[in-house]
Amino acid sequence: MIFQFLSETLHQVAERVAAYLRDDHGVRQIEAEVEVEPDIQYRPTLVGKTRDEYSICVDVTDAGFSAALESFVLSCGNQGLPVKSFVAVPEGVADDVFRSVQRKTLEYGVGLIEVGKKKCRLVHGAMPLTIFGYRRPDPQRFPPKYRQTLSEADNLLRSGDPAKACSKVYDELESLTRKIAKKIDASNLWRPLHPGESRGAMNFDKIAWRALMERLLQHLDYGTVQQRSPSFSSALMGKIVGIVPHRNETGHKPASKQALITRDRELRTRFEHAVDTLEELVRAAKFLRV
Amino acid sequence: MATNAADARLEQIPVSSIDPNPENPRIYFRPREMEELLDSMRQYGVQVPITVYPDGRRFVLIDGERRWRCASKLNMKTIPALVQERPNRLNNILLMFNIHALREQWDLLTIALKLQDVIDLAMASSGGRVTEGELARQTGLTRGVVRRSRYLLDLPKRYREIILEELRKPKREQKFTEDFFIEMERALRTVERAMPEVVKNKDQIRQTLIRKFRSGVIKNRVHFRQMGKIARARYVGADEAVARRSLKRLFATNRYSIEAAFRDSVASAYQGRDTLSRLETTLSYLEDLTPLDVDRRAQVKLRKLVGVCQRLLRAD
Repeated sequence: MIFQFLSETLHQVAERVAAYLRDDHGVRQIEAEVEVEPDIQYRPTLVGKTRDEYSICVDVTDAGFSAALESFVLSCGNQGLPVKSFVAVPEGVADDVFRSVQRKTLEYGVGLIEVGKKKCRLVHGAMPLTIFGYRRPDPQRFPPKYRQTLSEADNLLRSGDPAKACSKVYDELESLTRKIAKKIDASNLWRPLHPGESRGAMNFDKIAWRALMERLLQHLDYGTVQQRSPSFSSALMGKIVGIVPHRNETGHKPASKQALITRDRELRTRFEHAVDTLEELVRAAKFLRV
Repeated sequence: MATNAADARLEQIPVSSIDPNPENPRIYFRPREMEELLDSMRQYGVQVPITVYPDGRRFVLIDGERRWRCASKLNMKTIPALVQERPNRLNNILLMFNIHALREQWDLLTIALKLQDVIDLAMASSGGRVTEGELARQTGLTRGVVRRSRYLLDLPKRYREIILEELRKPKREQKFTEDFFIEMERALRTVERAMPEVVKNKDQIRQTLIRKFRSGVIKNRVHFRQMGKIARARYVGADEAVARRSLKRLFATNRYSIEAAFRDSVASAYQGRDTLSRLETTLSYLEDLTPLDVDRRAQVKLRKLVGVCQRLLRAD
């Protein structure tokens, strides 16, 4: 590879990162200092492609997280480009430089690779810049038992797996609704049946989530429940019913770059929406002590 | 030297159509300086056009390689450039000397290596020797820089490689700098001239001195100047045999410093000469004074001086 800008002392480091990305992560078409998009005013040290259409951009440095890189990340984020940006630092770089790079990369959702003489170490992954600027969950707004899950979901999102991040929040939502259904059933907070209507027995641990949510939506005695918690409404249940179909979609690989951009944008919205819904449900169901 | 600056035209040319100048002696671009320029260009754009000459459908850089590299890094499509006529090879090199070296952007070794090309080309065209003055005039360098470059050119290749290795580092981390080698070579030449019998194997002496500098026995490169002073012992009336012995020990052992060699051989002679020289200067100044020039405060100082002189003479 021919580098125009990269200092000669870092050429071998860049070559090792390129080999690592190619061999360990299947990144293809790795080139040196080429443009990412015509209107992005920065050429990272290395640019490659993943099989799922993300551009992998790596900046090799031993000096720190530059203002130009910061501007590059912001530009890609503003345009919602399917880019995962990394900083690669050689092993043995000064501690203060490493710490500062680590802090900045985490702040901007940029990945960090430490490059040794023989092997590379992925310190943390990169967030797709398609979801740059998403609203991070505030753990303080949740009871302690939810905070770890939310923190894990946030980390998954920032390290480049928005689908799993959404899935993590959906799992928590599903688990909470099952507990709520059991409590409702135990407290007999169902509405009276209409003539000719029946309400069969239901295993709330095993029944499909959609069926469970339909039961809650249609059979809950909202009058009684809302006396205890006015926000426990059919609208809230309906909102969760609306989430159920997305539960199983998240793992599908997009077929094109545009599909990837669309999918990530949707995932970003879904993630924020799922976190908001979880917060709303946790508050509304507080009286049930689940 | 023929330059084409007057006929140059300003154009926006594609960054991708520019090639670096094969004669550009700049070898390393320090990362921190490049980052600073990159940041400046990102914020303010290219404030000063680069200079190029056409080569077919492409352009070759005369001035502005760092700007060009940064423009490419910033994915700029075009860059403002002064397009000049294509110079011949000697003029091409001289142009770059006059453009770059005067701005003190080049490292001295970089200048030295390219200066050798200038010497060769100039000798080929004039058919004779090129003087230091002519080189300075043509390149725009000072005679001092030309002389210092020649010290580096005379160094064996492996020492130039040590300097090249150092140049990759930021300035403050460089130890075996061009200045170190220049000071060492200058002192060695003085020793060679004054006491040729002491310098039997110059390269071995170099290695000993480098080892001593690396281990801290020689603490500062300016101490090499004392080495030259030892070799010139006879000019200050010091014992040449003692000076010769000190130099031999300095060149043969690992723990004997230049400062110690200086102290053991010629320090008192140089101090004596220094004292005499200062006294002569003071005396000559005092002899030119008249009583009108001496006010009350000066009278107090003169009386103090007389007292000190009497004390020193009594000790004699």
